[in-house]
Amino acid sequence: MSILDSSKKEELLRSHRAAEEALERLAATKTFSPKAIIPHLQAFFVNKLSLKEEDMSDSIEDMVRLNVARSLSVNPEQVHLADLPSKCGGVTEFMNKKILLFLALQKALEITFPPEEVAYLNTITKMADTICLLKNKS
Amino acid sequence: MIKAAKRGIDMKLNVKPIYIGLIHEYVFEGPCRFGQGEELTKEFEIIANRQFDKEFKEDIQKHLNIREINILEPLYVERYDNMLTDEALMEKMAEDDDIVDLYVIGLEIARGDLVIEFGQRTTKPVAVVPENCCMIAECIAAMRSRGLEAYGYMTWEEAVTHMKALRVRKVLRNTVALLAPRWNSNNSKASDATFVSLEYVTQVLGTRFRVVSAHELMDQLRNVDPTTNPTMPGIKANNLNDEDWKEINKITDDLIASADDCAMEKEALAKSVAGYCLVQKLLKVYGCNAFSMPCPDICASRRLNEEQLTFCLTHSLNNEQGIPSACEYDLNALLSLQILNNIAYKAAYMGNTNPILYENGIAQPRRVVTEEHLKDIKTEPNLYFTFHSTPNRKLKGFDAPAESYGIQPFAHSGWGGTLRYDFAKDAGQVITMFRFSPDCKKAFVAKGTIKGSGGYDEPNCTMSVIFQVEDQKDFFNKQINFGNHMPLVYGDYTKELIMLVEALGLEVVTA
Repeated sequence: MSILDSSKKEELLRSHRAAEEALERLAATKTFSPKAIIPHLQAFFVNKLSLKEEDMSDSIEDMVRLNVARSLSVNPEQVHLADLPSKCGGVTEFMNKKILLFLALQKALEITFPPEEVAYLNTITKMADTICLLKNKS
Repeated sequence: MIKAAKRGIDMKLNVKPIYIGLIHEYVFEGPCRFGQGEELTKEFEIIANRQFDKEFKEDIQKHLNIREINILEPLYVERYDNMLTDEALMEKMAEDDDIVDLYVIGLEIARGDLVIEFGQRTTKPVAVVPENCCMIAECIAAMRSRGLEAYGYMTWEEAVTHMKALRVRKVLRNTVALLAPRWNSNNSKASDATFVSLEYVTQVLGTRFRVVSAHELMDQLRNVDPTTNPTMPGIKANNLNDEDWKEINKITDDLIASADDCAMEKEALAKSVAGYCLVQKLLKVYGCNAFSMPCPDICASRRLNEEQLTFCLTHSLNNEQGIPSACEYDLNALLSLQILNNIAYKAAYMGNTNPILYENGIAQPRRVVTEEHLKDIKTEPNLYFTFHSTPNRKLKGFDAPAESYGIQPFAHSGWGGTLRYDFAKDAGQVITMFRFSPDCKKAFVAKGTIKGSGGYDEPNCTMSVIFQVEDQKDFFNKQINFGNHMPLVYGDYTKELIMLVEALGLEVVTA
């Protein structure tokens, strides 16, 4: 028996599809400019993290934190207390989700974020600038 | 011209942060690696390690961005799941080794061997980042068992306190003291409890000593042709000159103008200011950042009487500028002053330190402490007093506004400038005392609370601070293993000082 009720399940699937579509639109972009790709990035992050329009923020970390907070049923300010690294490597759920989002973007766009910058791509604006730089260079 | 010595308070602890990442090249699960899907990919690990590095750097900035520390360019290095020890990685980690005072290393499992080997290659201490899970005890135990200097901290607060102590150890290692003895460069006739051996002090604390003859120093007070000094005939010395006397007059005028009370004529005070200016000049010539000269030894030569000055004012003015300056050639007190100045960033004070004696629970007058000084505190138990006429105006901090003060002559005949400070207005203020044992194998760290004062408006060595210790008898029994002059500083710095003593490899005694 699923622990999710059917409406919740439907909502998750809808979000997932919307995130995939946003990613496809992003990958299909002809001319990469922050103005052109920011709406797709916003849609990707909001839907992939199962957030609502009003949860939208330029801060990627704030949005990931909100997602983790909801899954742990705590306030975003308490995430660091509840989201403890349980693996030998020390990765938290917050970090895990953030990295998987970045990997999805890298894969869809066939790019690799510069390792020395990747941890500092904290906002959609910064992320958009970096994607444009990488795509326009290639 | 030799290189000028930096003041202790201008020195910082150079901390080099290094994060060692671990990247698995292959996708696999095992007893120390688990996850699913993309979590096991190299791409995931590259981002994860960079994220760890970012958090490490943020922690370093958040906690170590303080006055005492200079954070060097943080470094990120990687090892791979082949577990090789890359020579290039070791060299990269040591790129700033010449200037590093402490490495702070962030890491997780399977990188400890790199830290140990790096610790063996560098001569500098290594710490594992505070609040790290598992790797602190793992690495520190391994390094200490190999005779390496390694530190682990439970909290950042503890790390910061310890790093403040390590900075003071660095200051001691970079202290170059100018000494002006008359007879014996190791001790004087008034400071029997100074260090037994300066050579040993250099070995243990790293402090170096430069010696100038007291007679040569005294000769240079005279504004004459600098090749005509009796002790250095034909040699161009560093005598005070007309230019110096302009500065001497200016400092004297300022001292008199800013004093609440002044019991000296300008001409008499200027002679002591001249002593201070000459010492400042010689500190530069000799590349020194600390000073001491004897009292009785020079006093007995009659030269102080001839020149009509004492060096009390020199000590006060030096100390309030962060140049430790000790009375009576007490080099033990000199380095204790340096320690206190630097742990607190406040100018320390030193003096003869003795217990007040009691009769039927009532504090009795003793030496410079009169019945008048004790009248409001005579029922207070466990009183002690420290007296010397070398207080300063920066007891509450080198950056704090100068405290109000008075001026009194040392000699009853009106010469020998001294500053006076009313310690009683700071009643309730906690003070910390520090002194080495003469063999430089132990250090005394003690705490007290100011209760009163005496000698503000009297000449001579009467200036005193009266304070309460926790247990007078215990303090006394311990103090007699360390010496009479007990340097003190405002505030409670016992935690930092205990850590310093341990970092110096000495035994700590507390009261």
